[in-house]
Amino acid sequence: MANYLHPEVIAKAQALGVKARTLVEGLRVGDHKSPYRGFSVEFVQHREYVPGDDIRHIDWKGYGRSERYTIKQYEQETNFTAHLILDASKSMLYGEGDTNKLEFAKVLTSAMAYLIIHQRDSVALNVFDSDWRERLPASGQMGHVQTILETLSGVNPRDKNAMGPLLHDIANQVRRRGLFFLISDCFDDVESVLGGLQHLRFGGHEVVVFHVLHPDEVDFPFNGMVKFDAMEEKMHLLTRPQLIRPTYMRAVKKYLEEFQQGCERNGIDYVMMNTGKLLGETLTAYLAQRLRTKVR
Amino acid sequence: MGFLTPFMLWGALAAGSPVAIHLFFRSRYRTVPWAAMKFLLTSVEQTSRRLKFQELLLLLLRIAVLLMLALAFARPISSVLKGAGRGEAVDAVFVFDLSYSMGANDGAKSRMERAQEEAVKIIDELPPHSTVQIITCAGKTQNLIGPRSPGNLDQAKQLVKDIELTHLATNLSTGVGEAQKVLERGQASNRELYVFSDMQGQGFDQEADKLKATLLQVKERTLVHMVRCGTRTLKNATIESIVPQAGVPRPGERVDFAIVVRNTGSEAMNNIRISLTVDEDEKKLKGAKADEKEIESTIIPKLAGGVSQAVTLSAKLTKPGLSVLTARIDHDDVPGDNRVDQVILVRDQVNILVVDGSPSQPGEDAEKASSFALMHALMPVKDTDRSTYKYNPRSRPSSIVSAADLKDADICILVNCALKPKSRMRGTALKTDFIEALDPFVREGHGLIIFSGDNVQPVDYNEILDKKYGLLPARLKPTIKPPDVVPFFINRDTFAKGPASYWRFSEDKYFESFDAVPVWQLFDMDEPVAVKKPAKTEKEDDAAVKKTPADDQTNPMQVIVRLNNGKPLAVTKRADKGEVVFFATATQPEGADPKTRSPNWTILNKLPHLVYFLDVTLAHLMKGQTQTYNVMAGDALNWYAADKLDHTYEMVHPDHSVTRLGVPVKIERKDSDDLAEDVKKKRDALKLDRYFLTATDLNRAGVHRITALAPGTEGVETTDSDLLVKKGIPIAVLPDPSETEDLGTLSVKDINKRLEFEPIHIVAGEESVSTGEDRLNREWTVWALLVLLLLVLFEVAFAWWCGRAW
Repeated sequence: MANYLHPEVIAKAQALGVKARTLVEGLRVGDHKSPYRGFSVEFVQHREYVPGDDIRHIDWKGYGRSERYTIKQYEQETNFTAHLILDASKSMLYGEGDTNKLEFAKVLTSAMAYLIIHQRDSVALNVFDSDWRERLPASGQMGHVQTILETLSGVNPRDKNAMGPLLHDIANQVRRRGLFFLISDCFDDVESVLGGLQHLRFGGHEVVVFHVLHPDEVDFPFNGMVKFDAMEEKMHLLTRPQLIRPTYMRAVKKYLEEFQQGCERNGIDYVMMNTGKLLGETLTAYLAQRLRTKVR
Repeated sequence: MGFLTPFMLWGALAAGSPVAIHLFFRSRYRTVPWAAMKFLLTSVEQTSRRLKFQELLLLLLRIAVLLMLALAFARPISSVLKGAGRGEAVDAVFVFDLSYSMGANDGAKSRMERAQEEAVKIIDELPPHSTVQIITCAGKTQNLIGPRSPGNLDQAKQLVKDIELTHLATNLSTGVGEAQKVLERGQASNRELYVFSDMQGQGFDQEADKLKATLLQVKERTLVHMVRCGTRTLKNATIESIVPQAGVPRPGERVDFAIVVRNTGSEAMNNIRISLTVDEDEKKLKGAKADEKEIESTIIPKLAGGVSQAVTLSAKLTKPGLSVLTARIDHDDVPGDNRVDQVILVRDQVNILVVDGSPSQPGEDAEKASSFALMHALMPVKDTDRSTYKYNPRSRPSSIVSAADLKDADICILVNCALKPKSRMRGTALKTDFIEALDPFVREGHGLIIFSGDNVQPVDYNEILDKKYGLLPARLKPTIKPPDVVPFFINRDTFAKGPASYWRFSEDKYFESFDAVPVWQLFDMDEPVAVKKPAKTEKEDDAAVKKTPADDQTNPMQVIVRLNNGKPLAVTKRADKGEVVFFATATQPEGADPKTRSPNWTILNKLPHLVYFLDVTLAHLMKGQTQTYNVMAGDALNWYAADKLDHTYEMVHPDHSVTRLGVPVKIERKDSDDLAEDVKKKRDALKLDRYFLTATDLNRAGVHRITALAPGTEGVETTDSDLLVKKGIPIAVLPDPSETEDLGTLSVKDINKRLEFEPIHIVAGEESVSTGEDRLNREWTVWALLVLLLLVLFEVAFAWWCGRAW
């Protein structure tokens, strides 16, 4: 089994932790704000009593002052469930060694799982290509990290990416609001992907996209006569890359802008994960930036 | 267009290398598994058309660069032969105009000297491995004189220096035609033609179409240079003719000769000195110093341009036989025509037998005789001078005349003679033996003149003189008379269409009264139908040069003069060595018409014209024996050998060089098939076959001499040309007068217009002209390199803009 838990990544990210910035629904009391109002510590508001409300929550002191039945509501703090959605399509196989996108994504997934479980939240793992390949239910046990690592270790891409429908699928399945971390190169139709992500957001989930790209895919540094074999389809293209580099760069830029703008419109965190850069630094930078952002 | 180093064009095959490189790199690619195929496809889709266009343009640019590189290495030049060659080597052909106007003084040098210097300069500037062929041309002749080894430029220079002028007229067509053949045999890639001439107009006008067509063909593959060798306007006087004032020159007499001098230039000339000498070559050989007193000369104070003037000079003719008259002009710009020689026959007296067919009867007035007027016309001198007069006529009545009377006669004149007796005829018919003797008399070289009259019967004349002996110039028809009292008159202008001896009657106003000679009766004649000859072809021109005397046998009769009704009055015909003149009317009235009182025939006897006509006719018949001794330069000499027919003949030229002419060639006689057998036998017995020698290389004027070598010395090289001159028969060759008829030269514009293209014009002797530089100027290499540079710059810029490299 490969060890996807890199100490240097964990060390840098652990201090920052993963804080939910939206309201999450947990089963246990935790560090994260819950949408549920109860009798907890922090008062939020009064509201009119309606039949069916638990009469234990009636503010009697208020009734004494106004002779009206009002309910006193408090902020509920709870834990969250993070759903790690890992793209294991064939396109993720691009890159050599540490820059291999899939390996990079596995390390990122492992690190995220460890961080989240370490702060007593739950993590669910979903691995997909054209369909769901691995699905581990949410768990907050430390041993779940081990399970996740084992699962990742056994992931082998078999098919091409079909992300959009799967995101709709998982959005329908997960009712409790939580965090979704999508780790993918997102080489699918932008509209389709954004549609899926929008669906997740519509379900009240906080969504973070870790867009894993290899430096070659961004910079396109090829020269000479190159035959490009498509990884997800049976096709190839013989060309002089240097001749089409400007057009390619423009196409990539347009795609990224379109995707980033779509994410921004939907309140989705977009994090570019260049496999050519150190994962620890990129992840730390994101987590730090996330920490500075107010909880909505 | 052509190339100096055409083999470098193989480098153009490198133009395929961009395609090969493209295919090579296309086959050498590396495979990359690629995830972001979507963007790749998008970018390729967006750029493929533009990229293909750019790639195609770059490919074409690179091919063009390589092609231009090969082109530049091949060193393109204009107007040269395509194909394999030897680099810059030039096949040059020089055509020299050898007409005698090229000998004209043009400044300090003659035109020929300028041509020679320019030719040597051009040879010196020829690139290595070049060849030179030299052709000379003038008149209808051209000659490829070498060098034998075309690459031997030293020999070529020596040949150029040794070129000698002829006395022919300019004709560039023949030389250029020969040059075309030589150029086609050349192997160098670079071909150049140089025409050295003074650019006289007639050089281009002679066979103008042929010259133009040839040069237009030549210039497609050859660079044509016209080298102008003279620029100065020339002053020239030429001797047109030497005309004896007496009909037949006689020995011991100082004879007057009219020397006609013409100023052929456009400017007036002053103080032209003309001199006349006789047999000066022989006197020189005898060691006698030229006696200044014997050389008569005169000066024409002023002669306007284009004007002719005759001066009379006398010369003493010391001996009978052939003499050479030499007339000279002391100096002008064109020395070639300053000396004119003429061979004349000097005789003591001309014996004339006059046969009167209608003599005066005893007791009759002498004027009744038909020969009365004729005899007086033959002796227009006092009785005391008759014994020394040039003509010695003897009159014999037809009744007594015999064949023996012809023995001493040079010319026989039949006057109103009947060939057969007829009733009520005045006089007697000629005897048969006399008529039979006339045939050999004429054919051996004597002259016969026949005057008409009442005794002349067309039937008899046609049967005997025409059909039987072939002596009559034309078959006779019945006499014709004018329809009314108005007689026919002589048309003087028609003399111009007859033999040259009679031309002066039409040209000289002194004889304009010929038009007033009336004729009341004359014999009509069968004129051979004139066949209109087609335009001369080139082959016919060549044939003209090679014309033999055998062609004369078929010559028809020639009309000397016609009347105003178009009928011939006098005709002539050659019969072997002799000649017959037939006069269609009588010499005197021969009675009058009782009704109209008009003379029966003519009143020619009462006018001086009979004297003129007889004098010229007698001179014409006598000159017939000497005319082959005077020829024009360029014409073929057909000289009849009278004896030593088995000897080998040689010709000594004025420079004492000798040409072997060989043995005289026999010309078979052509008798008509219906000729009587007895006449044929008699003619055969006379051995009337003629033998002739032909000399075709008479290109230089002066006195040439023909001599027979003694048997057994034919193989021996003749060394004593002086001896040959002493013994030789003189042949005077005259400069072609057409050369100086118009000394005007064509301008560059005129030449271009006539040739319909623009050759390179060079003026011989001008320092600024360099054919070497011109040759370099024709090279396009610099332009090719410039285009190559621009192409490379454009390719580099375009490739940079497109983001490409090789």
